[in-house]
Amino acid sequence: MSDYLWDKTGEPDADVERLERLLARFRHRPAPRAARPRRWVLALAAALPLVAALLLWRAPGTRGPTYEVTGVAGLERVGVGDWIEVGEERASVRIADIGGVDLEPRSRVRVDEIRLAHGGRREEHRLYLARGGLRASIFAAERVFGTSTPAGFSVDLGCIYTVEVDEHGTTRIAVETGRVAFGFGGAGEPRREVFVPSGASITCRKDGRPTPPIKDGAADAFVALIGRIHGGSATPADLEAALAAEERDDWLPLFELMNDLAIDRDVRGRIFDRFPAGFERPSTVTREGILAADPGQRQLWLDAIKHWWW
Amino acid sequence: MREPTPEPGAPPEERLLVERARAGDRPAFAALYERYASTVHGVLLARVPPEEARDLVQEVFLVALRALDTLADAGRVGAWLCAIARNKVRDHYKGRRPALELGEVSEPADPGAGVASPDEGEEARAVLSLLRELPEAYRETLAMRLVEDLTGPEIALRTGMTQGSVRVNLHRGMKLLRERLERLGWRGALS
Repeated sequence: MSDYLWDKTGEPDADVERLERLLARFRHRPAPRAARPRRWVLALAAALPLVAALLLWRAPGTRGPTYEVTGVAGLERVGVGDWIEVGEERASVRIADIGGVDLEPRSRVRVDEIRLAHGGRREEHRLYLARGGLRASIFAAERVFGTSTPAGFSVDLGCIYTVEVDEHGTTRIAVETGRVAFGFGGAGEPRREVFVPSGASITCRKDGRPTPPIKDGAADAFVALIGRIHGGSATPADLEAALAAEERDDWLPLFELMNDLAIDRDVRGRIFDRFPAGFERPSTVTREGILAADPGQRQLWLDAIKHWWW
Repeated sequence: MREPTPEPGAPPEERLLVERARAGDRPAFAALYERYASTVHGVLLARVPPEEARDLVQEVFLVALRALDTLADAGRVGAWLCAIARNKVRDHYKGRRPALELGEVSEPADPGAGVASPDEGEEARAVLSLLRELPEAYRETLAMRLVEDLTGPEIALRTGMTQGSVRVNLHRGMKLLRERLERLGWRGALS
C-alpha cells in the first residue's frame, strides 16, 4: 500500500484523495493567519513572568477588583475607571481567570466594568478601547467579556479576536477563532447586533453602522458588490450577481444585510426570498418578522444556521 | 489498537506552553488551542454531528482550562485533551437518545447542498455517517486524517498514540470504510 494514507507521500490513493476532498467541508476551521506574524504571541508569552495567582486580586487600598498589567511603565494593576496608556511597546492585561488582552503600542484603554452578574453567579468584564488595537484571547462563557469602542460594543462569544480603533473612532473587528457579536446603535435608534464568526471581519465608523461581516477568503468582486448593497448604490444587476453566490460563506454578509433596516426593504425582501433552503429557517421565523428587523426573529434564525459560518 | 506505552510525547516547547498555560499565561493556552483544536474536533466528529462537534470544541477547551492543574504530565496534553473530548461527548449524550450508537445521524441539511452541489453534500454526510460507525479507534484516527487533514505522524504526536498504532488504525480503518462504501455502491470507491 502506498504511504499516501500514512503521511501523504508516495503515489496518491484515489479513494483517499476523494474522501479528503469530500470530507473537507467538515474540517475544523483554523484561525486564518493574521497579517501580523502570530509568533509574537509566543514571544510575548515567553516574556511574561510566570504568575501563579489567576483569580481577581484586590490590591490593598484599591476600590475593587483589578487586572494585572504587563508592559506599561509604572502601571501594574488597573481597576474600574482606570486608563491604560500603552507606550511604544506592546502591553498585556490579564483578565481575571478567563484570559488576556494584548495591547498594541500607543493604545488607550479604560476598564469599564468588572461586575458580578446573573445573580452573582458569574463575573463580567468590560473594556473600552478609545484608540489603538487589542487582541483578546478569552476562554469563558458567551458575553462574559466585552470591548466597547467609539463605534459600538463587541461581546465575546468565543475565544480570540482583534479590535482596532483609528484616530477617527472607526472600529475594525477581526475574529480569529470563535465568534463575536458587535452591537451598535443607541440613543434614538434600536440597538442591533451583527454576528462576526471566525475568519470574518467588520468595520464600523463612529456613529455609523457596521459593514456586514465578510470572510477573509471572499472574492474581491463579491466584496465590492456587498459594499455597494451596503452603501445603497447597488444596481439590480449587482444585487442579482450577489444573490447568485455559490459559497456558503458569501451568504453571511447577505444574512446581515437582510436584517439591516438601512437597506431598502425590497432589496432585503429579495435576499430573503433567495436565501438558500439549505440554511434551515425555523418555522416561527417569517418574512414579515425579518423585514421588520425583529431582533428575536433574526436571533432565532441565526442560532439555527450560524454553525455553517464558524 | 491503542497501545499503553506512547512514543515520546510533546516536544519541549509544547511542555513549556503547558507549564505557562498552567501558570495562567493565556496566550500560551491560546497557542495550545490553535495546536490541538483540530485534533479535538476529529475526536468529536468521530462521535457527534458536525454542528455539535463545533460547539463541543469550545467546551472541551473550557474544561481543560479549568482542569489544567490536574494534568499530571505536560507532555501528554494531546492525549489528555482527547480524553476530555471523549468524556464531553458522553456527558453530552447523557440522558439523550444515543443516536450515534444507532448510526442514525440527524444533521440539518447542508447549506452547501442548497447552494452549490447538493449531491456532493448528501454524499459527504453519508460517508461521514459510515465513518462514525467504524470501531472507535479507527473512526477517530480516520476523522483526523481524512477530515482534519493531519498526517499519521502528526496524529501520533498529538494524541500520544504510537506511530505503529496510528498506522494500523488508519489502514484497517480505511480498509473497513472502503468495504462498507463499496457495499453501498459508492461511486467514488475503487474496486
